Amino acid sequence: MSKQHIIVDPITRIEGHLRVEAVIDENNIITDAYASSTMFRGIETILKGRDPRDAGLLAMRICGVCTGTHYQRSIEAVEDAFDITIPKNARLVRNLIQGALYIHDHVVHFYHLHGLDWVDLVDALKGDPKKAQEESFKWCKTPYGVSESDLIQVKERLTKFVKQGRLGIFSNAYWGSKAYKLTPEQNLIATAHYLQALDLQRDAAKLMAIFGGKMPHPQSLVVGGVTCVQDIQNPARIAQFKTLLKKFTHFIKTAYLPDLAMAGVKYVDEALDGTGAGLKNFMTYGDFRLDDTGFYNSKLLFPAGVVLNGDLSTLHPFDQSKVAEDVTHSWYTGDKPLHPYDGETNPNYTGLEKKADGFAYIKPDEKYSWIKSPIYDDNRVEVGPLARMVVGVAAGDERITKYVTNFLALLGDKLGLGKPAPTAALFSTVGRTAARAIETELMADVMIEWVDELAANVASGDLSTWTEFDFDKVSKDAKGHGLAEAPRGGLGHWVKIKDGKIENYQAVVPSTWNAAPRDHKNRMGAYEAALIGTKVADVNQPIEILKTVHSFDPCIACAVHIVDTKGKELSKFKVNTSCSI
Amino acid sequence: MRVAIVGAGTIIFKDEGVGVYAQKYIDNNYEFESDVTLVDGGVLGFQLMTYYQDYDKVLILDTITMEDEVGSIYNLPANEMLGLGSYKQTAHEVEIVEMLEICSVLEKMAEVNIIGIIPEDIISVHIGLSDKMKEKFFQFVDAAMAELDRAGIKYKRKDEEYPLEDIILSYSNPQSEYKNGHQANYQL
Repeated sequence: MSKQHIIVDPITRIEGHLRVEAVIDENNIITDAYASSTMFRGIETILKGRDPRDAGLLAMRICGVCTGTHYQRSIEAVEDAFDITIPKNARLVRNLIQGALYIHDHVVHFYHLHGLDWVDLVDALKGDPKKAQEESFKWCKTPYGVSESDLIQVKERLTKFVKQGRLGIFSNAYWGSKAYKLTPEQNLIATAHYLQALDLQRDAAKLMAIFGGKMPHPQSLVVGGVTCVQDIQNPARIAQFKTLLKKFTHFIKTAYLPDLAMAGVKYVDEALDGTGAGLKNFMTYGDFRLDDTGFYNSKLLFPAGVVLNGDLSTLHPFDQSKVAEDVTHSWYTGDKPLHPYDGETNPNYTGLEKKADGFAYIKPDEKYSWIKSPIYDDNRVEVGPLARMVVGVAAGDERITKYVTNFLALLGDKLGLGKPAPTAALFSTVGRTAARAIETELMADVMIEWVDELAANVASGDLSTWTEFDFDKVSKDAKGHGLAEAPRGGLGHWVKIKDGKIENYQAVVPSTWNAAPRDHKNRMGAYEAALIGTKVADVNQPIEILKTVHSFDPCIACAVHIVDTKGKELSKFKVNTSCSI
Repeated sequence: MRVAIVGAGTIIFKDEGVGVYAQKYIDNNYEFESDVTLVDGGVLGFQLMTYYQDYDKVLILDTITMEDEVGSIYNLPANEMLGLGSYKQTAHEVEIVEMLEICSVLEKMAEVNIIGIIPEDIISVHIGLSDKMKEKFFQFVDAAMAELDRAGIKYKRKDEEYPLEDIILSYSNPQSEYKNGHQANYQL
């Protein structure tokens, strides 16, 4: 029985780093997988002893993609501790900033970070523009920017780059792999959208900045509410937001969703056989409050809850006290799972095992990751867009069910099934990627409603943006949590406050849930479980591994940011500085 | 010519904040005659794409790894970095370069230079700089200014210096000025 190890390092297309070690048998089926990665550490050290009203400004330094999410979570953890309910305008503004992050993040993820696992860019050069235009009408009545002349231009542009040797993205994937299933024309359509999305993502980034003040690291949230008072009272700003949002929504509906359906049909076998399903345990904290009854009481756009073993008929209520983190396989000391209020972070690095072939391998029976293993009520769970859609359906949420049903019906129609595609198809790598697209469309639509609600509320004379509180009184002895959904999944910040100062602080980020190593009972984390049973066609091109891990939108940003020149000879670019002794 | 100077890095890992401090130092100590935007990029990810697209020239101030001594300063043209942020099995992810690669298929992309410095300590959880970084800090700023000179950007130093110590302090102890409610005397 020969066991071969495949190491993929790094695996993300952005932020931080993550390595996956997969063990395959003689049939190239993955029998074991280990995810090892770096995580952000130290926010608790930095925040201890600070004024809790300032915590958000530092907590946002955890990450640059979800910077606003950490900022908001931190502020809401403190608001929860102080028992503050923010005004309606503040709630809507926060929803809009967060919603903008979702649609931006999801579109960029699909096209620029994950799309090339499905779309063969080089093959697109063989695509016939006229045929591709005809193809595009199969997926959308009004396809986005893929007329024959558009596509001729796209091809010219790509060809020019390849000729110039400006290979950038062309040089670093597994082009030509058998794992790619789209036709040249379909690849051409998706490639055109890849380029167009690059331009359009700027609009979505502006959406975040309109009410956030700046991106990255917005500045407009405070404990008690928001500070963008002028922006919400300025009809021109509201109109600008709406215009940009509509433009981006148009792209979502006429490019992103149709492309997803097109890929869904081509890769449907991988969905139906459940490739990449993994744990099938899903958890959401819930997010986007729809009324003003205060934290954890409001009706939510994404309900909170837990679904176990893919059983959509039973929704288990979510209870934050059942969250714990275990460090059995993580480079920290600790002997039992702890709730984040009592969390500890004491590094204990034990290294990798160097083998004769020059590679370093993890020691699977020992510690092998910087990420802790979060556990919910003695279950390993997956978080993210798929979890939100699954929990929404299990909760009987009307809006989520409608969007999910519509997509499955579209897929069923294109496949000629005569009925919707089965919901179980969502439990797969393809399904995870589809869930993200479904959620994007839902979010874009609901954001328009929120903008109108905000404008109407301000017009009615409610200009309140901040709830007053007596700091000295509420901050004597308090604890609170900010639990919500970042684009990548459930994100929680827990804070304990004593005599006006932070006593303890823990953040558990979405990628911790998904990218975590095994736990004290040797149960796998979500990435690890999702890889088991997958067949790798060519061990030198482990595209199947990348596809599944990328489908979670991995972000281990909470690591170190440094430009790595990887040993390239660059000495002639050294800046000569005079000695300054 | 529209210029963006982006300071990148995680300020809570000691020397990793050097790029962020440097952009703030330039912002507080220089006046520009032309269109120059200073950006506290911090741990920015995708947003880099927007700068690469919206500006003619972009300077990224950041820490770099290199076989050289701590405090060495480099001015790396983007083209030299392409091909490094790849899918291959390497030990590190380079998101700044990754974004360059993605943007290299655009019709128009900024001329990008990475002004990099080799850090001493990016492991400690501490907001501030090591002595070695402090010693080299002004040369790091000068390297960025020299790149602006080459591009013909005119600027002058302000009369009064806003010291590095104060900049680090403003980051290590960010105080929300709205702690006790928003200021009511704004102008619409």
